[in-house]
Amino acid sequence: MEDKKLFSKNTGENIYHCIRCGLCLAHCPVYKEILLEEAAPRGKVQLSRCLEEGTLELNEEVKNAFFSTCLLCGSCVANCPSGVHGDHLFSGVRWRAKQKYGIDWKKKVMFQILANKWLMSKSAALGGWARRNFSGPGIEKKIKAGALSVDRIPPFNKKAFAETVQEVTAPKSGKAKAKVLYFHGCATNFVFGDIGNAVVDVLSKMGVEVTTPKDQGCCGLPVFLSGDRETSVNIIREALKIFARADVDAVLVDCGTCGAALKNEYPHLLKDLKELGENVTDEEIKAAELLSAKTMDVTVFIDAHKDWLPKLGGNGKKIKVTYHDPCHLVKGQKVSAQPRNILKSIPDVEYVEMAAAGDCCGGGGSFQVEHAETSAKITKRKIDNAEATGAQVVATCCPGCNVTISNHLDPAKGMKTMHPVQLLQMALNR
Amino acid sequence: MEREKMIEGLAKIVGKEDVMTSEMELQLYGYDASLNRGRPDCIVMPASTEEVSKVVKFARENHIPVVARGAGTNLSGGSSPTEGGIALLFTRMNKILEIDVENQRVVVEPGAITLDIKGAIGKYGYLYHPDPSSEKATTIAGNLGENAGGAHCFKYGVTSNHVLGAEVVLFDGEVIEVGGKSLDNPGFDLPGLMVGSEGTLGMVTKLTLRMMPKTEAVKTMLAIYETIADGANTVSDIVKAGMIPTTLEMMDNLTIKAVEAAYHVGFPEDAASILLIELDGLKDGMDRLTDEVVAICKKNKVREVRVAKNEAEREKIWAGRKGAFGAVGRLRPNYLVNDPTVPRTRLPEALAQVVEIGKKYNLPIANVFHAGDGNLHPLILFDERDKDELDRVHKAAFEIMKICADMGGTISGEHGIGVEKLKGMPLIFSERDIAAMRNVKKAFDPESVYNPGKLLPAEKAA
Amino acid sequence: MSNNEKLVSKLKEIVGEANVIEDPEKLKALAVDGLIPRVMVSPGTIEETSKVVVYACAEKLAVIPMGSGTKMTLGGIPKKFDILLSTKRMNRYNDYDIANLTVGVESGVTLAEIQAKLAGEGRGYFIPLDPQHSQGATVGGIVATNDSGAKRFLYGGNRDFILGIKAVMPNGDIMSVGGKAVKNVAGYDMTKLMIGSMGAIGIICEITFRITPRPDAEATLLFPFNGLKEAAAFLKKLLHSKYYPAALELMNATMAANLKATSALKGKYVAAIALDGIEEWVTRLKADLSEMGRQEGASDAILLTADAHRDFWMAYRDVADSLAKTQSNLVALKANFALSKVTEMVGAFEAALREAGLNGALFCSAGNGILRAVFGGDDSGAKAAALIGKLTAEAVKNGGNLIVERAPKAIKEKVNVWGQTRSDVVVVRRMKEQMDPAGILNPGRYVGGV
Repeated sequence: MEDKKLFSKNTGENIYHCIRCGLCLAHCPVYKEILLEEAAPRGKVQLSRCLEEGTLELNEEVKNAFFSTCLLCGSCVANCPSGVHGDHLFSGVRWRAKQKYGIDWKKKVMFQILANKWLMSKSAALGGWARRNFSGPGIEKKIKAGALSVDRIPPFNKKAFAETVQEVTAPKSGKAKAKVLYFHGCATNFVFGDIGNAVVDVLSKMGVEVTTPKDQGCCGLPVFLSGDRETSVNIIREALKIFARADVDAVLVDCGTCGAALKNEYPHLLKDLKELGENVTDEEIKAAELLSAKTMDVTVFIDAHKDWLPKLGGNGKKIKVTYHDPCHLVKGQKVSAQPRNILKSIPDVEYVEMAAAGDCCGGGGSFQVEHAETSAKITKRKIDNAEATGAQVVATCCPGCNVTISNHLDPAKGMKTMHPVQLLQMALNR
Repeated sequence: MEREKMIEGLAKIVGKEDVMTSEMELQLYGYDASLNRGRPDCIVMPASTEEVSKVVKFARENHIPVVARGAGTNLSGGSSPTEGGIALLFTRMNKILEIDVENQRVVVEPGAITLDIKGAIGKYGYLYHPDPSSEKATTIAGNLGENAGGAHCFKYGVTSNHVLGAEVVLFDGEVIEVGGKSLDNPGFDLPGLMVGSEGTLGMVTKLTLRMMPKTEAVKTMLAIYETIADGANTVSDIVKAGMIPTTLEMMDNLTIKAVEAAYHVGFPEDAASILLIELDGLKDGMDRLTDEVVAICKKNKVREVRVAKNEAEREKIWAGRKGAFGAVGRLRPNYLVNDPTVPRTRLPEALAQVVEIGKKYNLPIANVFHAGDGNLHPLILFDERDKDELDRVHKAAFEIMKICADMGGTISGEHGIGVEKLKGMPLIFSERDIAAMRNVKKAFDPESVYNPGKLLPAEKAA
Repeated sequence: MSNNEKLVSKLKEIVGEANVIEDPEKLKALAVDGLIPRVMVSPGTIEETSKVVVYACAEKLAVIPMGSGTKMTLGGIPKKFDILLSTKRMNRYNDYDIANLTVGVESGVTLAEIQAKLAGEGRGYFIPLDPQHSQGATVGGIVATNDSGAKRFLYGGNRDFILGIKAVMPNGDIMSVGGKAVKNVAGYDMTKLMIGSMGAIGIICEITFRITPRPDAEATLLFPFNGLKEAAAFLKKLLHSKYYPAALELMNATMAANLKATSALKGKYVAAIALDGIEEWVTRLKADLSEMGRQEGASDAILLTADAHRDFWMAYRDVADSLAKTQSNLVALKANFALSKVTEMVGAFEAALREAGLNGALFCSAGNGILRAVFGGDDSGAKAAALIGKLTAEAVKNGGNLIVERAPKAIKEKVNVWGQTRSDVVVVRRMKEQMDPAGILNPGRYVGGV
């Protein structure tokens, strides 16, 4: 395993375009807190080079640098003047680290669950049942999962969203103006069923036919970013089977991370693996490229077709709403205007921009559990900025950010987190 | 000194967690943004002036060099430990200690990031003027060490004009104060000497900066030209007309293309050059001055002049300029940025010669320059994996320095000598000039504890 | 051959017989703090200066450089004095490049001469320096003592527009640093080191200035105030505003009485604001500032233009010279302080002078944090010395220090003319040791007694 090349030629070329200018230090949320070169994207790119050139051995310390001081938020990629794809390099190193050191058994189990739809739905149901019956505010208040307070993690859906939604939802009236596939992802499926309902509701009121494939699964990004590329390839193949279709107008996602996975990571990963000698076919790469072209965030779709929306009502009571840009959406997919447009178009919403809205929330999926101290520092900045707006709602297009932010908001302020589509649904239903 | 003893001694001063010694760390702190690479013996993170003083004392007693480091964004090798030693990392000494509005001064720790300082004083309506393009990442003491310039120095000067005082730890651990909040403190202009000394005279542990009230109005313009000469002539004519814009920046076609690919700010990719002009002051007469500038541009065959209508447009224009260096990394993997200065009127001549040098060595050269100051930045593009090319790059860089020195200019306008331009020092200084500088070094650091091998060429054997 | 004969003969060899003065009567008039030089020499070029210094260094002879001699009382009493070296014959323009806004001129030229020459070029240019001794001072002397005036507030001081210096070092080496390049970080900033170095580590022979276009419009506004607090509040408001006048000055009644433009004004204090800029700015400043001044309690707002404006500032700069004609034992002090402490400084100085029974002209650059005091001292110097000690402590308390620019020897002997010693004196002393190990240039006249 060790004598395999570290990076594909394409990915490896990134190393030589890093001129060490250091501008990425200004954008990395982790570097901002830690202020050490290993926490900087530049440092990791240079370490990638040392590993590639053999002047440094991939040891525990190096592995930890790549896992504990990087959220893979993509801020560095979005701001590198030379266009270096640090994220490709870093996840490449994580892969090799996983091959050398294995993955923590808890994570291994978790990934196996994510990769297996049957296991996932059963585990979630069990977890939800267990939480409802055995847990309780008294117990949960005392438990923390890393930087997360367990009592403030939203409860699991009583039933998985996939089990409650129709496979095909027809437009509310008239002929379908467009036909879309809805990739709802794990979070909506098991925790944020309300968001899933809002997405389908709004789209059908817009005259769109929404197909929500029953047997869809995880996008695979959490698995992929942790270095378990082998497992993630299987997940990707499953997703391609269901979603890589030329006969739909779009594949919509309600999660920035799922969007980044489908739009950016699938094609890149498959190409890389093929080059490194893994068993990936050209057809699979083509399918990934097709899916990438069709994928868009639901807010992008809604904003592009805003004239399809029925009149938005209000009850005259304004609520202050601010917006947090999820990293995988704003940096990974360069989407920032559309969610804001939607919010500003709602009569009852008084939109207020928060400072550094595009800065990372510090969650990073499992990062906030495994590297609580660093995560909490980053999150604090986001919370301070959000609370400073005086808003009652922090809107965001990522369930991960949703969980992280809602977990740390001051309960006394009564603020809550929502997806912009939920606010839109409320306005449509007035 | 034995490595174990060194680490033990340093750990006693700053604590074990603040001494880094692993192979990974030694690799990480060997480079900066230049082409130079060194290798420290260890990295130490002091948390206070006292710790800095103790570390330096220890280093001096044990003949270990000390190399200061902030964000490592300097372009001449100033923070790469080419002779080993302790990399003294200041990134965590980054507090803004005092915003003294009444006295128009801000006192900061060395690791504070320049743009953060500006943000903090901006809330009170004040500006710190020097704006190197690295300002969002660089530490303020790094700016001090190199005497950083930036796009606004035509009117407002460079770092040295805005650093009024500093707390400095000398080679033997003694802590002194140079300058202060007031002007004209009796004695030599030691703040003036410290700025631009590239970490070779003392470790700065506090800085006192000048802040100035915001001006009432600012007008930013982008002028687009079919030739570089037309742009340069516009600059000369603006100066002749007696105007002092805050900014007169130019870039050539190669750079424009790279900037557009990276940032999509709307620079026209078929223009030979663009000129960024900014005026500031009271709003009265600003429109007339703008009209005059536009008229001068037209007289010099400008294709188009765009005047920014609001802050967003203004920021877009600047984003294109500030990101210019890095953007050329899209053209070829690496660049060597030169930094010579010539008298302003000789800029077109210097640029023409740079083009010839590029042809001679078969290297593409992109140009960004502070047209108002005559400070050019030829960016020689190459791939460092090609050893032959790297060699030609160094030769080309030396020739560029030479032709500029011959025109009555200098070899470094703002990036410093470091390691990289040592060879060029004899082009502008005689042995006697350098001897005088060696006396300065000896006055501050007679035992050469600080950043050996930088700024001054090695003394020739008798 | 006697020692002196040998010295004189050697110097004549270097600079020519006509440029050496050995007449004891003439030399007596050139004494510095009572010490009479053995000879005066006037080299015509930097090379000649170098040769003189080489010789002096070898023979351990103390050299004191002099331009027009307007500031010879500045600094400590010389430990030794052998050669008085005049820079007046070094008076060439080696660079005169209007298009590039640079002028390289030798030390012996007076600032007034350069300004007159530049004023006549095209649209008119100037070196933005307005220090004391407006007609007589040479650029070499001004730069060596880092003298400055009111308009430093807008244009900056010597360190902000001097691009290069050629100097003869204490071992005779000719050092040439900087030059025409407006931005220059090559090597150490020796130019800044030499500015204000008082001949302690080298004799400045040539300076390259960055010149500035003359402003389109100029004017002055005078505001009489009865209260110090009100006057200071007005100036503070201006200091923190977007208006950027050219100068923000405050003077007491004694000072005002000495100037034609202000002598008739009714008020204990007068604020003088210089306006430089394009027509539209000056017009606006005239209107807005007049209004502001009145709001802050000024009893009037008097506008000076053209000759009246020029004459006012000339007299302002030269007030110490004019007072020297009538006052015996003239003492001129320069204190620096933190910008916000105008009221504290002027108030404290007034109180101390009053207590000592002395009447002093006080004029303060509220924009730069510099306060000058000019008064006639007592014959023995004891009173003046005590006063100087008190004022120095006051300046230090307010974030600065105090130096004695002018005083009779009797007073200088009793005080530390460079104010309170600072922590950086250790470097000042080491610098002198490195640069001038033989201790031949201006020995004993600089900070730290070097």
